[in-house]
Amino acid sequence: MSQTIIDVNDLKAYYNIRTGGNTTVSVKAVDNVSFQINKGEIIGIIGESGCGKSTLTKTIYGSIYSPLTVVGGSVVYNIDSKKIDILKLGRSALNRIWWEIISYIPQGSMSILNPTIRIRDQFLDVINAHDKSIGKKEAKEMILKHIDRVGLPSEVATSFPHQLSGGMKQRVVIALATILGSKILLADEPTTALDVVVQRGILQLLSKIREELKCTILVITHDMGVHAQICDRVAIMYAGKMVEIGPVGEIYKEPLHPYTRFLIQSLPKIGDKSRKISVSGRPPSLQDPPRGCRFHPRCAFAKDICKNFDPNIVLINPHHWAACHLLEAK
Amino acid sequence: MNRPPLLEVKDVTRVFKIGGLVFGTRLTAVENVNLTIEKERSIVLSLVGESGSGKTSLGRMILGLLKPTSGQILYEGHDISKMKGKHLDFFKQKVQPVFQNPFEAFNPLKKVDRYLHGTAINYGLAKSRDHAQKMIEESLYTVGLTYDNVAGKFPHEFSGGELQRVSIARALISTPQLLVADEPVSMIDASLRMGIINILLDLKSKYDMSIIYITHDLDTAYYISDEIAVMNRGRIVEYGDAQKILTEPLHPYTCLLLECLPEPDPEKRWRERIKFSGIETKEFEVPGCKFARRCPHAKDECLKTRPPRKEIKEGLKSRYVDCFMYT
Repeated sequence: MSQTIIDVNDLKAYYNIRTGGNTTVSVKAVDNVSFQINKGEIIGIIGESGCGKSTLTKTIYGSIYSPLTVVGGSVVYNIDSKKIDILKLGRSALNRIWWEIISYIPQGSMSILNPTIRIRDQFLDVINAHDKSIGKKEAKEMILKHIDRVGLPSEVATSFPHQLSGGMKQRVVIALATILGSKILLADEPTTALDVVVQRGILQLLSKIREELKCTILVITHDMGVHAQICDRVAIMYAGKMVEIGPVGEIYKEPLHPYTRFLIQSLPKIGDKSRKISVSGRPPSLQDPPRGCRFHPRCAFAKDICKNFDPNIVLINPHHWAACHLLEAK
Repeated sequence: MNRPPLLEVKDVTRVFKIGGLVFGTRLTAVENVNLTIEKERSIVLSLVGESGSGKTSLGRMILGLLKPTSGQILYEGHDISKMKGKHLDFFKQKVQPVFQNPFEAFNPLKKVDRYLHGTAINYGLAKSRDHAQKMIEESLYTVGLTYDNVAGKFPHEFSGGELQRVSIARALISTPQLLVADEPVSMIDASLRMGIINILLDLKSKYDMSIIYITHDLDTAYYISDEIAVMNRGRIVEYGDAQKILTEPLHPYTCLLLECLPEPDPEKRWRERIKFSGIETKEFEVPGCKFARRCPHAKDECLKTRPPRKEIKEGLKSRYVDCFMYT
């Protein structure tokens, strides 16, 4: 039985935006999302832009800044049989947990490196901020070890970020995320904007790090090919809701939710010239999502019940959950 | 009588100067490129390659937005850099662009329907407002929209997919012969992407329009293209029938691209690990084959001399490969 490392329960994270006067609009970016992340797995989240996947990740990380507000639910880490409720922690406690237990690699992370400071000194900054007892010599050895692990030559340590290519910078950021031994990595679009050859290298690196450091990795991308290559389990989000979650093999072979089925069927593949169609309509606005199942206006199989009642995410096959009335009826 | 081809790119090179007068360097973005699109048969030609392969620069030269440093681009037999007056206006109507990010292509403060009217009237195509209206409705219909969908709306009120449809509709108003679409779907969500791709396919089959599709995505390139040109560091390394090239690649660079494609099938995962090649920025300066430093089959001559173009006959069609392995 796999052990749960992060338990997300009924999470609701809204953006409350004031629009002149006293009216507030709330954008329901994450609405009633529950799922578990198992220890040592690579779990992927798929979704279109604006479906709430980045917001979900930020909330799991505990990085909540106005206008983002957690309206309900909990995120509990289970580290060495200690339970940590991340949403209840204060700023200083969060600072301890970040980088030591959980690291977040944000979107476009190639640009988070300070352009005026050498790579080595950026690593030293991180180490010193967390553990002052590490001596300079020891720290430098740690840095070289981590730079070597991500497959970069040691000269990189004394380089400035602009001397490195995009793929190399992404490797530096991954090394930085693991240097304090954090056990959970959250990677938001780690390979977008990289060329396919470099992308393959980065994905291999993530798998290698998982094996060597026994980490748990959450990967967000919109590229379904990336998930198929490295994930153990995949979760699909649509308009702030999680609609399906299951083992990667089943998701690609026998998707359950109509939305997932559409996504998989519409993927063009080399060697397959059959006509692919796209889903009609457009993703709904999260300010005022449709009643009932949020996918029903675009779903070819929608019934009356879909228009009025929001389906719960239920276990359909062993380890495979989906939120659809049509599946519940079976 | 032999009619000139619709588009002929003849030995085109583009050099960019980087930096100042003293320390500046030169970067050859596009080098000795040759392409032909015949008039008789409309096709989708894909230009594929990684970032920095020169595919966008080539597209901009075909649109006339960038002048080649040497070589010629001929539209129906006429050099586009020498076109003037009415002739140039005609060329601009008949060769239309579709850009990557529709939100950047439209002015955010201007209503979308005013754009469409402006296009119809400024090109001198519409005789009156009513006539313009009719032309706009027709081109919107082609992309699956109606005039009511767009009337009075600003760009931010559309989804990316819809706005990209509008920008294709705008391009269609002047009934072009050739569309140059630069990464038209890379900003579009997965569930709407194939809708845009299918519009481009329909334009080819129903309206006899040829399309140059510039992309880094080999999967959609396979789906849409008749012919494909694989570019690496400014040069075309393999050019010919898309089906053949993407299923039986010959050039080692095409092989590498196809191997690194993340296939959306968990049963077909990558087995062996690839080696991470260090700093690649020096590739532009290699006198021989630009891919030689990353190529598993590279010999000494590959680094020193540029590989010649080899024509390989495959039935009625031919494919061109620039590699010493096939000479």
